[in-house]
Amino acid sequence: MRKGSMLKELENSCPMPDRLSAESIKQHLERNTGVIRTVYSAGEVKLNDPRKGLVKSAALAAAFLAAVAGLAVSRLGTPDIKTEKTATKNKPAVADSTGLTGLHGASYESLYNYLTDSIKGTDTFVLPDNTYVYNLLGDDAETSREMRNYFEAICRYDGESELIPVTEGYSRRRTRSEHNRLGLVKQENGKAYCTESCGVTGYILNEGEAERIPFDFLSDTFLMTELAENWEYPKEGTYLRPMVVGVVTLGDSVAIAYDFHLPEVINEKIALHEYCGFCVYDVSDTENVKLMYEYEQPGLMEEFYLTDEGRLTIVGEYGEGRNAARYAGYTSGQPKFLPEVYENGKGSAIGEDSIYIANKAKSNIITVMSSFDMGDTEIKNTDVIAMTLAPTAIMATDEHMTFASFYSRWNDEKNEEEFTQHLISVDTAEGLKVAQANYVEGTDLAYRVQDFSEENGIRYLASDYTVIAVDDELNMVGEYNRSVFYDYSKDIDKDNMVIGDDPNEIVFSNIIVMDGSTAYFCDSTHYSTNGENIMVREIVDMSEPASPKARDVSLSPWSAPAVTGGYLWYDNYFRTDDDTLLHIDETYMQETKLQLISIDPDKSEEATARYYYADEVKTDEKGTTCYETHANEEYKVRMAGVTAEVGMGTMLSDDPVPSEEGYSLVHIDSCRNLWDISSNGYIFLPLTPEIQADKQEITEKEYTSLPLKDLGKFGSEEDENGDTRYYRYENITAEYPYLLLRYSEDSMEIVGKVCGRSYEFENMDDAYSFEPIGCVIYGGCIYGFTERGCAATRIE
Amino acid sequence: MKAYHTERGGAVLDKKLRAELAAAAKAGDTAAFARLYEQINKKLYYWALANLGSADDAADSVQDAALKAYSSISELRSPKAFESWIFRILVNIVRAKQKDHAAERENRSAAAPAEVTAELPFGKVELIQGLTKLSAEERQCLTLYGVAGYNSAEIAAITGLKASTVRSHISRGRAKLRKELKGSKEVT
Repeated sequence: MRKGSMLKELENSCPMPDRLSAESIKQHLERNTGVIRTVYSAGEVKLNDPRKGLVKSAALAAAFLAAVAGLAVSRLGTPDIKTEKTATKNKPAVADSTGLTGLHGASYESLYNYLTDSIKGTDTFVLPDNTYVYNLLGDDAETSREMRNYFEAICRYDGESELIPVTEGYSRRRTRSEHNRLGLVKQENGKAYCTESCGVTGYILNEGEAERIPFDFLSDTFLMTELAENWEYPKEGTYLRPMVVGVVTLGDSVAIAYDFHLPEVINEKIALHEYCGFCVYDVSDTENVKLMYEYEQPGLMEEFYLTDEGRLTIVGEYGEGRNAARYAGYTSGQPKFLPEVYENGKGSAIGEDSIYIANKAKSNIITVMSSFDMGDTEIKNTDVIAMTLAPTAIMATDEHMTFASFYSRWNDEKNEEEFTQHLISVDTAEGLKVAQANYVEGTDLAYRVQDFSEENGIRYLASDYTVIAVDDELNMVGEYNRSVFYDYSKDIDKDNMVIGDDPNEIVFSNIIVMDGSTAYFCDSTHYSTNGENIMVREIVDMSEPASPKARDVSLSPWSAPAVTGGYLWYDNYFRTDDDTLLHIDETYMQETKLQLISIDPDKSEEATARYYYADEVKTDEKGTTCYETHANEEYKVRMAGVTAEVGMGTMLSDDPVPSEEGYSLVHIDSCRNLWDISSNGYIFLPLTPEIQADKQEITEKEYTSLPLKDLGKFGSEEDENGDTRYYRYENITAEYPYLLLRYSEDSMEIVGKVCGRSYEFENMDDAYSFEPIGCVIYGGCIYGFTERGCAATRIE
Repeated sequence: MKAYHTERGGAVLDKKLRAELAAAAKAGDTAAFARLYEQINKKLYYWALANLGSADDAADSVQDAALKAYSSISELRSPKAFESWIFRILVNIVRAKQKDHAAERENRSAAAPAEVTAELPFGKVELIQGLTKLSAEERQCLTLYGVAGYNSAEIAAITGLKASTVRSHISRGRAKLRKELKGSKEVT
């Protein structure tokens, strides 16, 4: 079931009452509260309130809506393509005396002052005590995953950071070899390593059998034996484990990367220091697994970049410094607001000469970077630096990492918001050296950098509708703002708008993809009948950054590579390899399709788009609201190429194809990096668990009086008369099958369902709850892993 | 990792615009609030409908949630959080209503147990019928996923449940719903 897929069914069945429309709610609020009266209409705003900044904001908002209606789509109207004149700016910034514009060296004391100053005028948020700690004596074996989810939620809601590493490279050219990439499951030399919630399980693969390596990874690390021992728990009986974020194989060794929180009680307050780290095990002798190396640093891991030359750079974001500074003060001379790094259990402070403060940073986030020489026989940390940055994007190559931090401010004189990107480049090829820092002023390269490319020494940073080009000193040498939009400004009729209602189209978001010096401005669109599409609207050649050339902004077909950047923003697209994506097209009560989408430029498809708008609303004799539609003219676009498609039957229907029962794909959590759903031309898709249980009927009273913790052992079902009956489940067993598909460049087929062994459970919740991990191929067999174990089958 | 956070669907507002509207709404601008609300009102309503099974109750709940959100919008920490924040408010309102309904049913049951019948106000809507067969937690989680489009981590943050429990509820709810819809199709 696709997320949000039930909405359309409900909309069709039960119209939303008028009293819930935005206008009605506005009136409702005004009736029930003392409020400012404001009128928004298309492109016009009338504000009665003299609060200047807010008036400006609202005015800007409305003006922005009117100017780029296609970006913040609020209504479907007669569409056409609108072009605007492109302006190019070139505003080199001026470096300060340190040579690093906006970035200067610091001491512990100045860092303390920075952190305590940054408290002023900002919201503070302290995790509630105990929230992150779970009692392992209970049913919670997923301590760190919960902690991670909780933390992610806090990050998202707290708005401190929305870091987007674009390192992994949406573009094929930047893709690194797979073995360097952190993954949930990796195989090398017949040994597989699976990332689980709080640890790693190793397997020896042999002829379709996966035998567990009898070793508890992480158990002998300094992290677990010393740091964990010394963690001060708010309550007795609690236990905390790290969250493993992935593994990489290094021949007969495996590196495990993890995050954790290190609680520290300071002046009767608790500081939760975010940490990350990695350890490396020698697994050449599976009977005698040895810990080779271990490292921990402040900050949750945001980047783990390992080059083919054996240079590893990790980046973490540390956000507890402000609280720690507030709790501890700086009277002892101990920088508790910048915790130690640990190399093989030996702690050391980050040197004052490695701390940098960004002039305009207001956030409490400290970005910590460490670099390692990953020799065959010896691993050693060579550099550590800390910068007061809350980057919105990290762009990494084998040679350097570029950080982009976004700042905005309101200019009263110009009556507009101004934007600044602070770009910082750190050379990483041989260690860490802050090489360049610079401001890029006045661009709309707003909150996030979506994509990044580098060509002929020019770095291109692209956000939703702006590309800037910077030279190797990070001076802006060119800019281009998108000028072609889908225009919804005509015939706006909000009352008739139905999101996703056929045949209307909604632009979900704007996407930009960089391929070298070429920028592809695209819209991600949604049709209720055709699912999501990516449409290329404008192509710009920025090889001469000072004079970008828009290519072919007419309505003729464009020769464009299929875009890839935006796909990762959607849940139903998964990267299968460098050249293909898998799209699970699942819509309520419609045919579910698995689509193989090529991201090879030569495989994009010419397509015809025909736009419609709702003409008239009618109600038929059954009381159903329907829309008379009017078709507008067609025009040509390029779309990502669907090279193969497999039908899966109708979702939630008893009419599945091709098997008798159909396939019910398991809900895949979008927070996980599922690169590992494919291997060597095979795709692994976990299916809903198959659960068997004996049941014993109980009374409704017994059922309703059950304590919450026991509910998983009980359930209700309806009998043939429609009466609800309540049962206690016993002898619960579950299998975790997966669907195996084979694919090539332009074909895809279902191989079959692969079942593993059966597992026993004490309650239904545990039986239903599991995480898919991924698959590997070795010795003519494919091994599919979930947290419940492995199911393997021989392949041709 | 945070890199895989998902942009929510719907007719989206640009982030910059959303931030500006949130700032204006915080200062009491109803139109700005209404613009933000407009991005999510359908999700709110249909989620409430799926959980309460009554159009009036659902509409009342959404109206209450909007009012409560507006009156306490100063507590909103980040513009990005508006959607999940108002959803949390609605979830609490709907839970309270469900409790009230359960108490009413219990009272009616004690007084005249023979008269109790299943409430299926949308008899023609298979989906809503099917959802009534799920437990309250299963229905909340499945509809936050299926109607509102959240992932399990987000649902955990909204409902206060653990993410693993959310995933379990989604899986069980989906299995039950599949069975229910299959059954109803066979009947018709």
